[in-house]
Amino acid sequence: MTRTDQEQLLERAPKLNAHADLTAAGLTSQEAFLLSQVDGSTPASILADLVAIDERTLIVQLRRLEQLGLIRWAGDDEAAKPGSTAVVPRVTPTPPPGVLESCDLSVDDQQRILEAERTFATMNHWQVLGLAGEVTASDVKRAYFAASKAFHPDRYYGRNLGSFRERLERVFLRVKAAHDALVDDALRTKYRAKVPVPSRATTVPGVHVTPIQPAKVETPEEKRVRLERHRQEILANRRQARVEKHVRPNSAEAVAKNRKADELYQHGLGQLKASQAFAAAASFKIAMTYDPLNAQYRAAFAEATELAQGDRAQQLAQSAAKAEGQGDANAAANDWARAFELSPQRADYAIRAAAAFLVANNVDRALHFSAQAVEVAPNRIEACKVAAEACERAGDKTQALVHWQAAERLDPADSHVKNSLKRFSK
Amino acid sequence: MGKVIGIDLGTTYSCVAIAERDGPRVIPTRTGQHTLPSVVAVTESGKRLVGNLAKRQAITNARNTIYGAKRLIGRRWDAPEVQRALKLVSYDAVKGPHDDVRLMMGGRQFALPEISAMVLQDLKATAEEFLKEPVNQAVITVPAYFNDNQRQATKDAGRIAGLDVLRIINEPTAAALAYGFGKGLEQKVAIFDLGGGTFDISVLQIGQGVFEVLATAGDTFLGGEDFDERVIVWLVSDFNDKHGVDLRQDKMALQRLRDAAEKAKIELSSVQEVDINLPFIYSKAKGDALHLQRQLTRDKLNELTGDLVERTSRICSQALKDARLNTSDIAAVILVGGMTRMPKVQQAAQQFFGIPPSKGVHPDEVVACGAAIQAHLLSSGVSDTLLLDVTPHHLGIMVAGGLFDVIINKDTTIPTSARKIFTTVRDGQNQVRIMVLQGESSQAEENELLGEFVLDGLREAKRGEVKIEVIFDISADGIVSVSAKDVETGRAQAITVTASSGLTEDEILEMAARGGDTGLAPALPSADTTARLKEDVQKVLLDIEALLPKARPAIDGTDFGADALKKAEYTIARAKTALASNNVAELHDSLKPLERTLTLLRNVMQKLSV
Ligand SMILES: Nc1ncnc2c1ncn2[C@@H]1O[C@H](COP(=O)(O)OP(=O)(O)O)[C@@H](O)[C@H]1O
Ligand SMILES: [Mg+2]
Repeated sequence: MTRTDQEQLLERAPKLNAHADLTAAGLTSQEAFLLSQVDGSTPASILADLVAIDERTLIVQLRRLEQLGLIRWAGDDEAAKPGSTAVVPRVTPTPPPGVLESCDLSVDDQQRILEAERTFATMNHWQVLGLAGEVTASDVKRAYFAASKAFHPDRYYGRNLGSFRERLERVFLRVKAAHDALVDDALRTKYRAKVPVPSRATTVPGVHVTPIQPAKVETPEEKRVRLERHRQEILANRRQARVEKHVRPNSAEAVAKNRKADELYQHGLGQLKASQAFAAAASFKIAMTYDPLNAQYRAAFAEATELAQGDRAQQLAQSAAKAEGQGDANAAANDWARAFELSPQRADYAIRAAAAFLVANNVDRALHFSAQAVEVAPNRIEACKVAAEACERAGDKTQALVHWQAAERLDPADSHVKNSLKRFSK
Repeated sequence: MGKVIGIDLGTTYSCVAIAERDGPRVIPTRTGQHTLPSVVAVTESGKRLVGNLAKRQAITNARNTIYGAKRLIGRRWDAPEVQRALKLVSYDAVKGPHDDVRLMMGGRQFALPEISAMVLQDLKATAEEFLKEPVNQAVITVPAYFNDNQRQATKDAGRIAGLDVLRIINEPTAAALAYGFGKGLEQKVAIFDLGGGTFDISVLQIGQGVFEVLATAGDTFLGGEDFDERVIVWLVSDFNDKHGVDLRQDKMALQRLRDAAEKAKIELSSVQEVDINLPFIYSKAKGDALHLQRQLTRDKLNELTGDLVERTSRICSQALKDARLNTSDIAAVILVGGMTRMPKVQQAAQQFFGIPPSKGVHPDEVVACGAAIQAHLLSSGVSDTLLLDVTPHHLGIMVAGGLFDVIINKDTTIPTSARKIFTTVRDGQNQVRIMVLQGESSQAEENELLGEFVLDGLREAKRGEVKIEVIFDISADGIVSVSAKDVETGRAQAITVTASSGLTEDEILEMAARGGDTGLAPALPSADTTARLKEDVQKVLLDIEALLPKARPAIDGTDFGADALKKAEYTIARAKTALASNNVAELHDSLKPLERTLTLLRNVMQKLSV
């Protein structure tokens, strides 16, 4: 490679190939990380900074990714024009890797998917399905079914998933490829000869995905506790960070890395100030890749994530209120419900969701959200009332009575509650 | 999302169901039945009829009564199956503008999706009446063996009927879902579905709430009507021998024969012999009428249809082979479809699988119930049950020599993606035509064409030197996209294959707008009736909203108060939705309840002032 060659490439932006077959690639983690930063607009010279390697190595690695069919150079295919009128070029937006975005997925789900996408890229079939030891066809099936429930796109049917639709599909395809290669006895034996089965099921650091167990659902209470802990951490970390600044080792490499991470961190703070919480979360996340132990970054990340969810919840609440104004109880109910899922401490969202579901005649969901409302805010009379009504509509008189009585204790003067209780005593 | 219904759009009977917390249930038709004959007709006086009424007048109005539309939907006029099927029907058919089939009814042409839409619209109305709210979304089932064009045509039928079709799912898969939903099963099952027009067999693995289709096989021209046809032929040829008259030439006689044959076949499921009596079936001249009278035994029926029953077993073994299983792997056999009531068919299934078929699923309702369950799963975000469906046919492209090169195999779980490299076949070739095909034949032309496009601007080179990569994607919704790329230059073309129902987008929109013309929905109102209706609704709404603040505290204090208020609120919400959507049917439906609410409020206020 000539010097000018390299220089030219450094100015250009590599682009991720849609449908790139990550499974066959066998990437090193360094290459995978590089790949995760390729977004079609960042020039190679900046990528070198982002992944903290020298430009020469970077070009070598990018060339290899290109050969593997994973990336191409932006601009290479721009000249193509449609061949005939009947042909509509398919839109294959290349999703920027590793970035949280504003869509109908909780940040937790987004992270789960991103991390699966990233880690699966370098895993063998055994690891993708979390298999180890003596593996039978039914083990493969069991692992595959569990992973399917976590990653099949139908799980999020009808939601706006943004770039996550494609990611989810990719992750599912990866899981399916592992299943197809291992479920058949002959194929499995052949594969085992090539790639030995791990003796212990692997969980890659930083991956919360345990495909065999369906994702555990956090109760609102647990979530509240966790968020509170985060808040405390943030405060503690800020203090700590101030102290640490003075005692950090001063090697040149560390300084360079720190500079990049800190730039990202500052950038993220700016984004946070500009109310771009999702983007900020992504910046902090990348900062963390330089300096995974930096508690300050971690705390900032947690904070941005929480804010992003709160923002989205507020948007949803606004749209719910609007839908209510237009008399669309269904749409309103669903928006309140999602708002609550993102801000599980907001009992008012749950109450409004439950009420709207009652109007929309969806007793099932009304029951669910009124129960959540009572759990989060047992002392709010509205929560008790809506729970009571939901139970009544569902035909559960006993439980309804319990809620009406709770409401009465909160406000013995409430005429609605009094009347309902009167009805019960008959 | 509002409520989403599940619809089994059958060849002979259709069924609608809804699933909620307490599982699925069938929605009875207005006449209290659980299924609706898939028959539509136009009477002498120009009235459109659907279901039982249409079926009842079929004999006297054979030319204008359409049944078995599902056998023709999404097929091309020239298809041999179509020409064969059209020979047997009593209505007229013509070739449509897009090589599709159009049926004549009441002196007008109807596209097949339009005919099916009439049945769907009737089921939609049934559901709305039952659920007391508008229904706009549905999951509809089709035979597993339907190709993409047939699926698309069914989807279009939904759109014409005013239904947003969330998903088309396979009938046997739906049946499995209804059979296993919520039971925590861990087993492999076979679904044996012999209906009026089609035979389908699917093998599924159920576990951890996941329903994975392992293999499907079937025949879209093997069903109850073929059994009927055997009986008809038996009757007709005997009659011909005796009287020298071919009854099939007479459309009315043919319709009577068809009814009699089916009736006899059904009765023979419970008795050993039946008498077929068709007096005055033919009159040569005045006063010279011929009568048909014969006895049919169960044994004779079994003999006449032995090869049909035999065919089901052959298809079953194909499905097992595809799933790489033995009959002993199958823990349960579920019988679906009216024809599985025939003892000989049950015996054949039992003999093949070596176990007695499962009891406890209703063969006529289980498919609609499964569709309703999938509707519920998709629309409510439930995550403990999942359907892993497959693509039922090979997908690929045509290559040199008119051969079919498969890129995605049948029975591949969707979503899926696959790629393959091809090369040019001529020196200096600068373009390739990519023809996307679906089917089982190795000859391209014998398969279904889903779409085509051209990749041009290829680098001119010796043949075999230019490499073209073709990539197929199928989304979870079953949508196929195909792209082709010159590997060296990166130049690419792609299409999303919209399988064709034989109708253009404009035609579908027009048919949907003409909804009223089907005679099922209220006649399409002129702009000013809509405006007037809107005005009426608005006026009553205003009156209500003026009264409500004063009335609310008063009502709240009464025993019935909470309920009445809730009802009033629902009525108001519904009217507002109707206003916002400009939907005439909904406006119309919301006026009466609104007026009732207003009367109630007025009464309350009167009592207060007294
Ligand atoms: N008791 C019965 N014995 C034999 N055949 C029956 C019986 N009941 C219905 N059938 C046949 O079943 C077929 C209809 O089955 P169905 O499952 O409703 O079909 P599809 O779903 O294709 O409309 C018809 O051919 C009808 O004659
Ligand atoms: Mg059927």
